[in-house]
Amino acid sequence: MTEKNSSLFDNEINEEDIESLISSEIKKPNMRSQWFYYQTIRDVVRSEYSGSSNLSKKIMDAIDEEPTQMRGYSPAKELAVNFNFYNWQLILGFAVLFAIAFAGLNIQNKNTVTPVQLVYEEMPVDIMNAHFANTSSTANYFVQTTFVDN
Amino acid sequence: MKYISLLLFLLTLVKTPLLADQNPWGIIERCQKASQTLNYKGIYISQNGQELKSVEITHALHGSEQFTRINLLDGNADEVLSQGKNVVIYHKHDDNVVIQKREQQHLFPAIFRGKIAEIKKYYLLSFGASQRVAGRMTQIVNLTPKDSLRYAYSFWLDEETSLPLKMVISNIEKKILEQSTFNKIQFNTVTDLDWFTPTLDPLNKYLIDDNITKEINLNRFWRAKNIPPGFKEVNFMVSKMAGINLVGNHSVYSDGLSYISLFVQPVRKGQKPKVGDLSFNATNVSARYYKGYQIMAVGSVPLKAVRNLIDSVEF
Repeated sequence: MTEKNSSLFDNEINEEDIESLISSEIKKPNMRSQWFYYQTIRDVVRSEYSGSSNLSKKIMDAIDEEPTQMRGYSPAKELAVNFNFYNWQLILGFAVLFAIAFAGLNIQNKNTVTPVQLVYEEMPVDIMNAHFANTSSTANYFVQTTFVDN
Repeated sequence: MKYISLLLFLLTLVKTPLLADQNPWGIIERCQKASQTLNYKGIYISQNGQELKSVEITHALHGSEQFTRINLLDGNADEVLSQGKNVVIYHKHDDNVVIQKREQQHLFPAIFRGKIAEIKKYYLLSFGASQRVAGRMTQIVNLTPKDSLRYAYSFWLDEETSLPLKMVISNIEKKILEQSTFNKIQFNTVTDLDWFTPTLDPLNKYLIDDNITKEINLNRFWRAKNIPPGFKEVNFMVSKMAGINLVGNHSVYSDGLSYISLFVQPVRKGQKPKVGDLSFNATNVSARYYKGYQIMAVGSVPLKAVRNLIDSVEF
């Protein structure tokens, strides 16, 4: 039934199913809160949420903050923002889908990539900084590997 | 005269640590302990390739906790303050000071962090001559690798305290790749913690660099099948990549002396992945492009070690 609820809010349900769905499900107390979750998330994703002045921003910020790994994903234990009255699993699910879709736009299509020869001048600074910050035995390499590129 | 010469020769042998100590590796254990427990203040020169830097270090043990302050005397007036496992860097750049938290380190002269037994398996220990460093007599101790996957280390250990006053890292051709040597050191002059404070300039703007690796609960999706013998993973970090909301993996392996970083990062749109090898100073880099990911290993180890490592990554 939850799939039908979700379809309803995404305008993907048949008209004939609407009436039976509402009459059978909306009367149940626990379903009211679930309907509220779906409705809120839909509105937030569409930037139409107006229930709280900054809730929409908080949710979108939390989604933005949630790092994405393209392989071997397992969800983080908690997000940066804490909302007690929300079903976290549901929000997290949306966040993950959204973040993966967003991240997918940022990664290279592996079939069209031509690697180039590694040269000193193009050695990634972030990699060298991370390496020396964690492994250096000499203070000068260790200290001067902050994010500032000298 | 003949007997006097013989007596002098015998006295020289007695002074040699190899004969004086039933366990020759005991000298490395004393060296490790000395770098953790002694109170000292000194200036040493570090050389990486053509680059030379002077560094001032103050170290003290108060109670059971170690306190260290390191000041770079050349170039940017950066400094490091560490208390126990907490390390903070004050990186001075233009009119700003960027404050950054770091992990516990193994900086000279506190080179030995782990178990000496692990180092024993992959390095041969030998003793060299006695030499004078920073006005003090030292004993040269060499750690020569048993295979071709790590560099050789030589230490000039203070005969009185066992603290390393000089360290040289060299390759199989005995070419010096990196070295640090004290030119001035004083013991037991540090009695309080008044010195344990950063050099603050009220005119500077202080920024906290919180763009450090966060603990992110994500599974490792790859594995390295050919980690060089004796190297163990000592750190695994999942961090956000700059500019995009993707994470990359950074694994650090060590045999107790040498370190290798392995990076597994998704290739960003517009970014060209790197392949091939690169060497500079003591550092070797090997890169490979695999299934949309940049696999790169960086280490103060021979090229063979980093190349074998990246070639064995699979997912």
